[in-house]
Amino acid sequence: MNKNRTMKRSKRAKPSNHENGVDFISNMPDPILQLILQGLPTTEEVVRTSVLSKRWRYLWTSIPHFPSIDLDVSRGPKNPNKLALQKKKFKEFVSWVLENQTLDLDSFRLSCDNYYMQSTILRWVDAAVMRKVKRLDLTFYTKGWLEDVTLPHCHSLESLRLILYTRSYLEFPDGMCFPALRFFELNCVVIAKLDLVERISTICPLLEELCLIDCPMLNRGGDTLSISCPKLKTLRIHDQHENGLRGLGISVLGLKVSCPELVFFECVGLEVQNHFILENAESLKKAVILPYCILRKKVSSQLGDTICELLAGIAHVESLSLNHFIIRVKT
Amino acid sequence: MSTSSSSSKKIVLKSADNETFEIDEIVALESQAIKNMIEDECADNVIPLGNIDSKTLSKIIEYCKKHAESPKKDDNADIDEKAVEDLKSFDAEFAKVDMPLIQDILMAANFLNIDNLIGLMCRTIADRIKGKTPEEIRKILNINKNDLLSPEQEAKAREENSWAFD
Repeated sequence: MNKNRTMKRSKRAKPSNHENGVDFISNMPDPILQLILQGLPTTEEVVRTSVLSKRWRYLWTSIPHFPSIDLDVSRGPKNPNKLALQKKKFKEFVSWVLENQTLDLDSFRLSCDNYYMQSTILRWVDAAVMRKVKRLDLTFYTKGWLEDVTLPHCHSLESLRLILYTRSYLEFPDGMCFPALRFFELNCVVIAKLDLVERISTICPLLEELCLIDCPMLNRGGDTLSISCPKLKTLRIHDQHENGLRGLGISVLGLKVSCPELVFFECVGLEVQNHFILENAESLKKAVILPYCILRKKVSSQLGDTICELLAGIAHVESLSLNHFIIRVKT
Repeated sequence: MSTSSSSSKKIVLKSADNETFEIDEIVALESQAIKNMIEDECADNVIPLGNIDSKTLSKIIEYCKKHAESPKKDDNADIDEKAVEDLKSFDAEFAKVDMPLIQDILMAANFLNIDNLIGLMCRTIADRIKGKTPEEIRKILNINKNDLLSPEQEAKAREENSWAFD
């Protein structure tokens, strides 16, 4: 009967009445407010609740741990004189939230333009990897041009997105392995050697989605980029030439794709070369092939044959998008 | 009020405004607090809930009924996706109520110890304050003016984590 009486007694402790303008939230216990905080999409928003009221002032610091860390400081401080202070505070915060914890981390997103040294960022990535991070999403500039970026091994990583503003290239040391990686996007990452892309199938044996977005490749024209990943379902290659690096991109390469489980293939902005081959495309359901203008080029008969073969090989797809450049080559 | 199956054991809940709700015991067991009372055999025929009004209580019963009917995650590793989707869309619809009711439901769910419902209400509140300025959030949460930081305290809070504000 005890509990029953407790319930009756609590009748007197009436809930705060919102209609009377009484603050309900301040009467809720900490774990409830922490749950609300953990539902906010970015870590920044969580931290900003510190100014809401006295009740909220230090509440966010008591969250047991942040399963996801989402940080975007790319906009920089409004007052440039405060940059040094802001950087210092941010570093302190990251080391507190990331490095002083041991529980598994679900995701780590960091977007910081050129505000931090690569060594600092990679130290944070290391910390995230130590905490068995599943999703990594990194956007940053390196200080110098064409510095190489090397990520650590990570057995837990399922999703990796890297945006490097075409300043840096990615390097995979020998024996590199992302055994659980399913999604991989390289965005404005310079690819120094074609075999980096070719090695992806060994480095990420379970890869299901690969996106190469505006990645310049330091290679000679006439080479062929070969992609063959056994589990790949989605392949997206974009080369939009907005970065003024035309002629360096994937656009001038031949392309050979051989992914038996491929369902979706998207290829936008490339110049169609004589080698444009889609093999083992039986499971393909949707294809988007929108090459860059090739009107100025003389269309060779070999190119015509390549396109005919390509289209014949994917004739079974349920959805196909082409542009007039393809049609022109074909006719 | 529920008469879904006459054979199962019934529990009667009484709201603050003296409305009674007869529900299946299985539905009442969604509340850990009521479950404990029943297990400890300290539940009378009628359980008075002196701090929950009938509007809130009927919403909570609606929630508990739906969740009691749905297969539990730990029952079976591969419950069909349709049931999961169904419950998701029920939750989404359920949460489409105004802030005062959300607050009442949250307080009652906390009192009755219904974990899933607490989580749902907290996610809903988070959704409504995300992307908002501190001023807007104070309004949404109805934060008492007397509880605000002084301008000096607020400036200090902003400085401590300047990266999140500037």
